[in-house]
Amino acid sequence: MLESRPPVGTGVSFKPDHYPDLADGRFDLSFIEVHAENYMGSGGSPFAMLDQLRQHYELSIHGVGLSVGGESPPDAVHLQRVKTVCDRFQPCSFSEHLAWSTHEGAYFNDLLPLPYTEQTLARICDHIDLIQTTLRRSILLENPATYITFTESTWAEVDFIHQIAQRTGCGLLLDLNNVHVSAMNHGFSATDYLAEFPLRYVREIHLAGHATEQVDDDVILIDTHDRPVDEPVWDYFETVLSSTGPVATLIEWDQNIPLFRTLYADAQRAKTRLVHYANSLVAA
Amino acid sequence: MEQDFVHHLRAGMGCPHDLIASQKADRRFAIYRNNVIHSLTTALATRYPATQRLLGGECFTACAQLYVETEKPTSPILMFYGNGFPDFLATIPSLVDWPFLADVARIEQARTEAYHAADHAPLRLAVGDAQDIETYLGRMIKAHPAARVLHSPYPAGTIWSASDSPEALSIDSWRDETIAITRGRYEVQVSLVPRGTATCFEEIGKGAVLGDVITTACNRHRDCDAASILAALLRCDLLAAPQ
Repeated sequence: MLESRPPVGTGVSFKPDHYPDLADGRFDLSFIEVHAENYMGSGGSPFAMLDQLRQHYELSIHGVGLSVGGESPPDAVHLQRVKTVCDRFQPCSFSEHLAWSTHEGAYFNDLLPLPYTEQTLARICDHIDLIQTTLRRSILLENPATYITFTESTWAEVDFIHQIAQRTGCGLLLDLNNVHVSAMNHGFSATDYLAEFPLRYVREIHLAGHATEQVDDDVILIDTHDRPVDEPVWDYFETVLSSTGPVATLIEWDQNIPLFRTLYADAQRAKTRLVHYANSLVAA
Repeated sequence: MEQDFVHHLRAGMGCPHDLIASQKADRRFAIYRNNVIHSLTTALATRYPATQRLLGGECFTACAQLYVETEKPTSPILMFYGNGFPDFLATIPSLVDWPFLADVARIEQARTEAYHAADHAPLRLAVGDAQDIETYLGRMIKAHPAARVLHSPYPAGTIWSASDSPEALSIDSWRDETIAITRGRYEVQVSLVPRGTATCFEEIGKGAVLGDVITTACNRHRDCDAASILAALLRCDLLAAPQ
């Protein structure tokens, strides 16, 4: 079985607006990441762009449509589409989310939350087993950004994720913006969450920006991926790297797409920190 | 859990309180509803930019939100979400004075399909090579996978091409148009073609010989001639090169 393991270094989420900047491979990036569902046509420019970019960068494929956390198993037709994309583009990694998005055939185009119980744990492990068996590779599972929690949850999120990784052999994608968003929304300590997170399974880190909405005294952070990475998230990045050493790190930016140099500035900032911790390891 | 969650999400009601432990849960639950509606209306705006420019952002968003309420995606492939949007626009009473709008949207729908269609070499014939043309007229030729041909009773192609600056649009002759949507290698092209090209395209889909297809089109549209239809089929890369 293939592993999902992006190269240690920095990457950016790829948007066609940035193709002219990236096509000749002149930027210091280790990988790019794309949403699987955007490459489920039959050909044309999207395929040609990815083929060209793969000449210069490793490719990570990030799924948003398998509804891993759903009550029903991942849709067989969609899972085959994901397999087709992975077979066609041979990525270094395939990742999905601890969330659901499909119910009785309707797709909601959002990463919806789920309760953490014995029942949902067993179900998600079954779904990941099915995905990994079909794709013939281990996948990475991403921790969610959430706005609500459930009365029936009996597991802490970090323990729930730890169990999934142990039982299925999947790796983890640690999204530090999601940790910050959830911590602020639910009033827990992101530092404590990270101290308990099963870091040894982490193969990739996501950094992204978020929006803040305030009504009266109620502040909610929303996982928008539409602006630079916020300072607290950079602090958590430092916290994690000090434990793990360098990890493949992606700057995610999916809306209000900036000039490439703005996105690259965040990628370079991340790279500086990876180099710092790589040097620390050597010195030690 | 999912059933209750989805029911409350769709019904636009507060959150399912027995499920959710969070403080101020209604407001937090509403973020999910807003995300779903906003992301789907954004997907429609991405697919139908000319329609949005013609309608204006506010009016387009209102139409898109109505559509999103009635037509949920059945697949996570959002680039193809909204196939029914042109037909839906044609049913909106307040757009009755814009009967061409649905056809403009159909052009945009076809553009998306062309953009993502399979790669295939178009049929190209040497100019003036009568023997080459004669050979192909006697063969069954398939349509190029990216090619679409639409006929509109309105000048929908001209309106689509002027959507960047609709205030400057001046249509001398308010007449029907036949529009070809094709893709050379990567770039999608929209061209006006003779009326018979649409008929031709339908007949090609039925598996007829190219020469017969063109004859059928000419018989049905007396103002079209075979040479202009063949020229349009070739100029616009509407035919697939045999493999």
